[in-house]
Amino acid sequence: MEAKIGVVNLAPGARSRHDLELLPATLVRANLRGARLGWADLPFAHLDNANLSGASLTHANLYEAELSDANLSGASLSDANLSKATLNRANLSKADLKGANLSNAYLRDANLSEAHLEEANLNRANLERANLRERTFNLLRW
Amino acid sequence: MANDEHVALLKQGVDAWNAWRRENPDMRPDLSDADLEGADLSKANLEGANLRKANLSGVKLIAARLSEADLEGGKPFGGEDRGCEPSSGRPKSTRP
Repeated sequence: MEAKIGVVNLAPGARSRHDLELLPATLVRANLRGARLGWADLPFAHLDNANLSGASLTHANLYEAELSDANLSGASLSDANLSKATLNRANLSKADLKGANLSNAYLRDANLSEAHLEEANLNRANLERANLRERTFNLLRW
Repeated sequence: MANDEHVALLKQGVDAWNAWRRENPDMRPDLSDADLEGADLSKANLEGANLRKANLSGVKLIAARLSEADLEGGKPFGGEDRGCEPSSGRPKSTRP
């Protein structure tokens, strides 16, 4: 079992490790398929390899979350905060990312086929080798 | 259905919950179908918990421990059950 040490000041709205000293939520081997987590506050969460297919994460705060290799196919992430999140190799096919904040996110080798990206913010996002086939982002903000 | 005793324990607050987890390390909490919308579960030890079909909309999970927990929500988003978002758009409270 992972040791948990320290923690902390949980000031509402704080979004920086520097002013919070917070530890991330740990969800190793958790099953989140279809989970209802709209508006959930999960900054810095460790969700690598997690199965979040079909999950509802609308408006969720996933700032700087670790989501490499996660399965987010068909997930609802509209208006979610994924700024600085790491989504390398994540499966985001058919995901709803309308209005999501993906600024400075890492999406290397991510699968965004048939994802909905209208009004998404991809400013400074790293999309190296990402699969954007049949994606929808006609009103995308870069 | 959730174990009512477990839900009541969680609603006492994270400190009481974590103390109970420490005293009962072999107990797997059953919070399935529980309505936890808007709850502040920051720092809660929910490792291995059964949270299937629980309503976790708007929960605060900063530094929460959820490894090996089951949060499966039943029908995937986009299915018939779209009850994935808070009914009023935002969480209704900040405490369990």
